[in-house]
Amino acid sequence: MFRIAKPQIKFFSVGVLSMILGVQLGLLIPVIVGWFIDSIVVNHRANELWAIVISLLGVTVLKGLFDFGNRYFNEKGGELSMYKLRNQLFQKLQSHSLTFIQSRSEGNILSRMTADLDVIKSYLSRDFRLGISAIYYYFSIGVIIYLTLPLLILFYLVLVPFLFLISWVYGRKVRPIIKERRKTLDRVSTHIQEKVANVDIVQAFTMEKYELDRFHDENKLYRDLAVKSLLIRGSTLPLATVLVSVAGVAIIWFGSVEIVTNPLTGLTIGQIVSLNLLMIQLRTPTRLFGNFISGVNSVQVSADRVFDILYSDVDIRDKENPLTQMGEIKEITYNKVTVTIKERKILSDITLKFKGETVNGILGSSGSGKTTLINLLPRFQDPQEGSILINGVNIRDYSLKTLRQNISIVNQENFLFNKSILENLLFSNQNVSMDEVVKYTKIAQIHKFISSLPEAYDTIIGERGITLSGGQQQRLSIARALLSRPKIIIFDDSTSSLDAGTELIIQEELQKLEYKVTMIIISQKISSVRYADYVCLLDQGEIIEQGNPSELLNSEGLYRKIYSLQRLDSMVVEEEVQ
Amino acid sequence: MRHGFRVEVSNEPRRISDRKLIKFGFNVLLPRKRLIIFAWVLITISTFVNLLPELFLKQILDQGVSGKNLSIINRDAILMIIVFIISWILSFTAQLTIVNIGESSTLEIKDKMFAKLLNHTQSYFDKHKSGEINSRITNDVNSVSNFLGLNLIDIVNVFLQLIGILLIMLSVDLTLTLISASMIPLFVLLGIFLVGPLRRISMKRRKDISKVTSSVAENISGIKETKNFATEKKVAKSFEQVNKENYQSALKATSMFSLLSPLMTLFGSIGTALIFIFVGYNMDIYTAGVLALFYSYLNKFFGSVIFLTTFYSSYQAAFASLERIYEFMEEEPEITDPNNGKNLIITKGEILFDSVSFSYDKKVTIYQNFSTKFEGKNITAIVGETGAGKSTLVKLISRFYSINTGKILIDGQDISLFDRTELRSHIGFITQTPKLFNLSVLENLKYGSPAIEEDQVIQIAKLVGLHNLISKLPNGYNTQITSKSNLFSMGQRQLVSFCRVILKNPPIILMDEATSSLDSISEFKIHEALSVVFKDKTAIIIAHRLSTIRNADHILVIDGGRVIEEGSHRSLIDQKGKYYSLYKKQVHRLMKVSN
Ligand SMILES: Nc1ncnc2c1ncn2[C@@H]1O[C@H](COP(=O)(O)OP(=O)(O)O)[C@@H](O)[C@H]1O
Ligand SMILES: Nc1ncnc2c1ncn2[C@@H]1O[C@H](COP(=O)(O)OP(=O)(O)O)[C@@H](O)[C@H]1O
Ligand SMILES: [Mg+2]
Ligand SMILES: [Mg+2]
Repeated sequence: MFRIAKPQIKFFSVGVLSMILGVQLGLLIPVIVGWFIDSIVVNHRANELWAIVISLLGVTVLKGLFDFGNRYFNEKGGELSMYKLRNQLFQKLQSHSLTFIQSRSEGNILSRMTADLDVIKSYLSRDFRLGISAIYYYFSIGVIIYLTLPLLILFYLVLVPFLFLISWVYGRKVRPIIKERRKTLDRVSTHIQEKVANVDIVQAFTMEKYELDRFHDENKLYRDLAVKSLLIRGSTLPLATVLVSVAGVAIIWFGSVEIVTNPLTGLTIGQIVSLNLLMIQLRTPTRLFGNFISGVNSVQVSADRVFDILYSDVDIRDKENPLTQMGEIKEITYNKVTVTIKERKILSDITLKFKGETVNGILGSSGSGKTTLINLLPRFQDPQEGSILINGVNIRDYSLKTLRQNISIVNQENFLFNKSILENLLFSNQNVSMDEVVKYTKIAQIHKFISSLPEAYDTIIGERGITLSGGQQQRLSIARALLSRPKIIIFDDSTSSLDAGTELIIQEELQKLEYKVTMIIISQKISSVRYADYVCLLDQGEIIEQGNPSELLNSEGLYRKIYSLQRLDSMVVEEEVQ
Repeated sequence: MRHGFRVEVSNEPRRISDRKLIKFGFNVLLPRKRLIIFAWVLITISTFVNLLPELFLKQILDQGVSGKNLSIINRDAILMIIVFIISWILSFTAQLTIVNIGESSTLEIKDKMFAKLLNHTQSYFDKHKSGEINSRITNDVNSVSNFLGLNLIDIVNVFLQLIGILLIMLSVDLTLTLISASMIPLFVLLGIFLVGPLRRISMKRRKDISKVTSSVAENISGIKETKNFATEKKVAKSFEQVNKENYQSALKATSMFSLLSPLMTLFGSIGTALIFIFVGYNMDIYTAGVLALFYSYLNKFFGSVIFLTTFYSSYQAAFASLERIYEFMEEEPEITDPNNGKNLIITKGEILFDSVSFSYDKKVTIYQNFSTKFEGKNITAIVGETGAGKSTLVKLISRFYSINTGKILIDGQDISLFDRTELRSHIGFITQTPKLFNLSVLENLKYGSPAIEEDQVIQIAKLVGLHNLISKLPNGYNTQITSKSNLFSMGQRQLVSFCRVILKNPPIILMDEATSSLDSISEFKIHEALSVVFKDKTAIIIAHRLSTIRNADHILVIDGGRVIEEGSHRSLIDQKGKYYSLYKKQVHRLMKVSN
């Protein structure tokens, strides 16, 4: 945890230093009050009055300055640490592989970047320093008491260990509850997020009651934990305060009795008053000391969650001195590629070759591994065995940036940002003119629709593109991918929501792209790969057929079977057309 | 903006009067009035009990020490200890009660809000961001509950304390009391000067931090796109901007708040100094006990005044949250269920659109006077270009949106006369994008029919062809998945949707491009399976593939919000219209391939 604070150590040191000075000055005030009572009220030494008043005001002003420094510098250190940490986290998050992110729910990552950081911050800039100040209070008040009347220190020495003990017990008891509460809060938030995103499913299956009950249960758990932690807090920390108060009374009592029975000790009424005030001052740090103790643990939990993102290895990264140039694509080769996830072989021993600037098709049943296969190319995932080469160079030798700038995937489901259509299009490439944008939206057959909207390209499309139909989202994503002018473009079943007519037109338009491109088309429809120069068929992670479409049709294999399934269905039309 | 997202500019004046909000808050607390009164009584007692130790101290000093009376010292010391213990018990009980009140009302508000949320139509979710909704249900409710729980009680406490102190001080000495009270205007002035800026900066902070949160949220969701286009730098840069803004306003807020407390302490000290000076010139009147008492009370007194001056800002913050909750609760869903418990009686499952008009945003009309009939116990296919309005049509049958005019009837019964849950319990809807929940595989498969036995689920999983995959998973059907998980490919997710609907077994089934990501062979298998399931059911199928459409009893071709052709596959081919030209292309391509 202190790793986080280290870069800002100068702010924290200044902050803590002013805090201690402030505390020390604060402890002088009761002494001044005692002085006043003794010399003015009891002994009527009027000549000391102005000295007392001036030292009171002087001490307060100085204390104010230090208090300001204390809060300001500690907060500044805290905020600055958080600012930097958040940036680092964000960048790190961007560099983690998709697998890393997909294995953690969105809500979980989000709460690490918000709630956990808050926990760390408030500990760094508040609880921690208050803990230090409490310790200083104990020490300094002890010294004052000793100087006043050495015998009194006995009360104090009996008291302090109990205070530590109580704080420690509180910390230990409340820790698991704090942890549990945080988890519950996480779940509640994930629950809301997920239900909002999928509310259509919840409603379609009339699961409102079910979801409500789950929500209620989680929140009830949260409430019970809140009450429970209060119970623990209420039965421990105030006890410490009561002990301090009782010790205060004991000091008053002992002191008073001493003055009455044993005036020779030289103890004064003013001293008793000031000791009493000091003991009152001790209440607040005592109350807060528990947070210092219990916080250590909860802040550690948060820090661990943050470090999980920050310090876990990025499994996919650039090698040293990577290539940053990629020439014209001549060929893409998969060489004995095997992907295993959780001991299950998703792809086994894939060897294939896509020629540069050709159209390639991949067919295969759902779950056969098509998406996995093409995700390997921009290194969204690395294979466990085998290698992939572009122009004879292992893709691991290219920088990720180069690789990915030259490869664009249009997915089955594409994420659109809650921004204008234009901003979404420009996401892939900012350096294009409006004319070019229009050129590509025309190719993707979406320009006409966009222009028909009242605000055309400036229309905000809602969270995840919610206000567009499925096909419109797909076409927008195709335009976005084309705009980045990739050398390799991959369509992962991205025309599934398009009607046959639109799909055909897009395919024909794509032939006319003014830049050279290698296309890989994943599809369920034989008709989608009709232009292909090369087609491969995947089944349960293995290539079972490959070749050019007409070759495949003439061999008695799966391709032919799919073909006949799709053809049989349309036989009637076919007769008509003929 | 077309969709009119409400940008949360918190420092704009509030739109809803305080009175309404107070009434709203009051209604939440009303059922708990007994507990509240109990807490208040406890607090009142404990406030006064808390003022006693100073009085005892005064007696010890003045009568005990100065009067050399040991028994008074002993007695009062013991009394003081008793007071401390009683006060601890009282305040602990009060706090427990208060937290209970706060947390229970929170729980209740949250439940109500969530129920409200699920009751909204889709158009609500088109307009509101999920992050914003989330923050209302969690953050806003929590801040209101803190306010209800602690501050509202504290304010009473502080008021009582102030009055109590004033009374005691008055009874002890009038002049010193007046001197102390003369400091109050100074505090009030400081409060007035600082409250405005403090509030503004706190609200700006809230806004900035929520910007950071939504920026993170959106970028996590879109991380695949960021990687795809290698735009990490650009995205990180824009995040840094947002983050920096947050940092700067945090710093500003911090420096203002750091200033506040030293200033307040200083004012308090000036008050003390004035008293010292006055006493210094009238030394003979005052005893040590009186001085000790005054000094202690003065601290409490100024503490209360400080609380009151800053109370306004916490009150403002809580009310800003309360307002957002109020608005949330007041926003009526577009559809109000009749709540009459009437049952929809389905005999044939015939669905009739009777001159229905609909638009999403009152600007672009999707359907105008649209009438058509879906025969009961028949399979009807809807075809048409993307954006033609196919999905919209089936969403209207399930009442995800409310129609502007006209009627939709199922077996002659107007669907708007029934609760939506009643209506939907008869409908199985497979949406265009199949979605998984953070649940186990089993729970995902039986989502919609929670009571169903595992055996049955497995049987259906086998039928749709998922069993093989699932049984290979490490924990089989009990494997936990996340909504983002890749465990199921797109086509397999569609099979999960099928599974859900088959288990639900409703008389009406709506399928919106439900097989679009399935390969031909799986699709073929699913159709075989479905021919059993579809028996005696009304089904509406949206699809692009001929293979899917061909099996339908009836086909509707939709374009520009109208049915432009309808009939059987055969008859539509014969018409040589839009349908024919749509599918001629598909077949053409197949033939080219076969050449
Ligand atoms: N991250 C992952 N974790 C576990 N299983 C996965 C993961 N990614 C893919 N799979 C499995 O790999 C198989 C192939 O998935 P995919 O490549 O998406 O298929 P396709 O695109 O051909 O439909 C699926 O059965 C899926 O369960
Ligand atoms: N939630 C929405 N808000 C505004 N417009 C929408 C919304 N959903 C769809 N639309 C618009 O309505 C039209 C019809 O969409 P839809 O019914 O989804 O088409 P499809 O026939 O492709 O299923 C499209 O032009 C789309 O942009
Ligand atoms: Mg796939
Ligand atoms: Mg649609």
